[in-house]
Amino acid sequence: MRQSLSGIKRIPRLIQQVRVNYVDYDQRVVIANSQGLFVEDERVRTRLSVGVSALHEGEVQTGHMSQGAFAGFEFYQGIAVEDLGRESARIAKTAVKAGHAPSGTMPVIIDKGFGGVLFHEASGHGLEATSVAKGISVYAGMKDTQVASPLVSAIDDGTIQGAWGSSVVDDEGTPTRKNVLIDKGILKGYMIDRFNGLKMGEASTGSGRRESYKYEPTSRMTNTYIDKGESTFDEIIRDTDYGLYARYMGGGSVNPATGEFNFAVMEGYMVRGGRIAEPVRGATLIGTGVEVLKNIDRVGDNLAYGQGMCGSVSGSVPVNVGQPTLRVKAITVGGR
Amino acid sequence: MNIKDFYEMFETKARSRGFDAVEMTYQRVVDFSTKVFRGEVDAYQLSEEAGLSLRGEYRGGIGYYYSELIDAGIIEEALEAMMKSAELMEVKEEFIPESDTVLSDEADYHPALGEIHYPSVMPKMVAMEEALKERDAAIGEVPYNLYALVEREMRIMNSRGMDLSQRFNLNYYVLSALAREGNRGKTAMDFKVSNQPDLFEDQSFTLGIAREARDLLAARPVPSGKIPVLLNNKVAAQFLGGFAGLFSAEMVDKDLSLLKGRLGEKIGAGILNLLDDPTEEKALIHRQFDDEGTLTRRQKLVEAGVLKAYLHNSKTGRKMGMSPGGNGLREGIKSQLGISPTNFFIEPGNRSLEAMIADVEYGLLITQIQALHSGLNAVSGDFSLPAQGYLIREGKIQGSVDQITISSNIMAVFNQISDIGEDLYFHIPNGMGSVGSPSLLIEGISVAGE
Repeated sequence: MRQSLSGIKRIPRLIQQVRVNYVDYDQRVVIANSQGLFVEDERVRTRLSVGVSALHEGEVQTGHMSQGAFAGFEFYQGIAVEDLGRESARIAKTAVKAGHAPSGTMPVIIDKGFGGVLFHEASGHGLEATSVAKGISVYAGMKDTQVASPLVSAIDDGTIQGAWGSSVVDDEGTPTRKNVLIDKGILKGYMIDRFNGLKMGEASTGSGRRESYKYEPTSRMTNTYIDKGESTFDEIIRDTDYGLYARYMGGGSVNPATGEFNFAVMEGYMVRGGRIAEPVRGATLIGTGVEVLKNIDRVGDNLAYGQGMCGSVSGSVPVNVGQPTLRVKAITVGGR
Repeated sequence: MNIKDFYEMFETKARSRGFDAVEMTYQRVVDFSTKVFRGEVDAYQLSEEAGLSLRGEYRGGIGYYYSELIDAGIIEEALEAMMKSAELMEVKEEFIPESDTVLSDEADYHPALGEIHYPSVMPKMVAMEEALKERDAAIGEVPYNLYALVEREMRIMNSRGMDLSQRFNLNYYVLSALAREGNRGKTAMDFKVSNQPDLFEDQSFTLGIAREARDLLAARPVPSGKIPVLLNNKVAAQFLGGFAGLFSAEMVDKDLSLLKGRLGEKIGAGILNLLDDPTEEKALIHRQFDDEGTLTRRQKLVEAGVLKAYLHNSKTGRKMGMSPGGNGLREGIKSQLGISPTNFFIEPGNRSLEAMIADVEYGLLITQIQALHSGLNAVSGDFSLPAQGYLIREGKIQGSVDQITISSNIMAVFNQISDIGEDLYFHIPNGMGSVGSPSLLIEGISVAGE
């Protein structure tokens, strides 16, 4: 934890407050049922996060970074903890001197990694059997139809080695697996737990998850991402005459019945004439999932992941979100 | 095992082991919730959690122990653990309070709620679902139909003579409608919270939701710009709740509150009065003591726009040379002691919502906001929240609005409140305290739409 602070030390007086949060846990589960299932599993997870607030001319802005894995202490051998501190401080410092993001509809470039919260909120929740089985999701009954731009392939994969949202079996004892949700814009499948699977007449996809025994399991995401495409980061910026570049995203939420989603931009810049211009802050992006996925017109080749906690009916569970850099040709930016 | 018997045994053993003082906090929470979907029970959950948090002063240190098992068998182990952890933390900022107050408060426990037969609730929820669908043919589904009943009991006893207990219960109901037309779907949602078994009696409840869902089908964004925004009381209460932490002395002390160093200064419009009042009649819970056993009291936090006080627990009170305000509260028995309001609210004015609307030349009436966890930053005060509601032109409602965000900074909002309604509403309490507000008209909010 002290090491992560060392990345911040050299930043001048702007930095007002730094919080480092360390979490590790070891969850042991036994799942048995009268159909002969008896499965034991152990989930060791580790996460470190740094939050920084910066003060400039009476205004306070914050930056936040975290990294986590389905791993124990060995996790710390693979990451540079100083970078978490340094990046958080840089984000806070940039934001505190930035002007407000503009308001209105414009092209938005969302960067790789935690930008995947876009898909998580805009479509992921609507593809969970929790709302599909009830028929209230906008994606219910849409299998094999076009629900996204042909550039978009989306996957939920609970088997990625060491990834924050992975586990060997889900919380109903079904082995996790790689589920293709959308293939080149066509809806291929949902994330399904056993109970909702019965209602839908489909098998579980290893997606039954819950925070603890205090919750009933239901279908949830694991490591969900938009797969890589062919554009480079530089090409995407260069091809954009005017728009917003969202470098880091904050959290968001969605109404699965309507697909209306929102999420916050933690670090943003204006793009003018194919170049990244001045930093802007305080933007929330809103839209509907179907519309935003259809409006994706560039997908980068630089897939990366970010870690988050997803809160829903079966409690708070660790999930990875991921994507390469991508561009949405029109999205509503709620600035000032 | 009886909690008082446990405590007496614990205190006696602690004394014989050389403890100077000990304290026990007991908490029990019973939660019942059920959801109905398409005429059937979709979820049914009953949980009871009880636990003890023990503290003791031992050789100049303070030690802790927590247990969910309330049994004489844990006492030895608890004392051993407390002696060990007392070596790590000195009795300095934190100690067991000197107070011989004895009080048992059951005023907020309503036997009529305690007597509710759980299975009797579901048929009423099914009837509400049907009533809502019958209101409008466009309403095909009722995606969210939730009833919850919460009972909470706490007791704090210490070896210096304190014995405080309180018990309360309340119930709430959340209902939403999904209206569809063509491939367009819109949801409207409303809440009701009460301390009586009367949640299903109000017929106008479904009427309001159905009307709003129908209206939203025709909703459109408005052009982006800075305009007056009228938050109805339910939206205003949820919004204000996101910023209650600004008034926490702990956040002030940690440099995480924009109100730091501003006591005695004007931070808001002259019509703004903000209170933390455990005795407020419209709120459902009236805490007489906080989780440290400090007696609570009515406090004016903002008076005529001037910042008058922060919320304190005993630790921050001592550190800043203030008396502890009775706001030492914790989320659960396992959580550390923090700071939370009791009943935190903007004092109502005397204007009806209709009169407030009639005075708006061009602006928005907001009836739903989202993203309070991600679109709002309590440290910077900035917010940008997705919203829906109605357009107001020349004092009249002129069509519905969706796919917009409302953005500003909380400090600007405090200064730009230009009209306050009479309709004080308290939102569903979060376990520790509740937040309330009347409808608020705020000038100069940035609206992002087209």
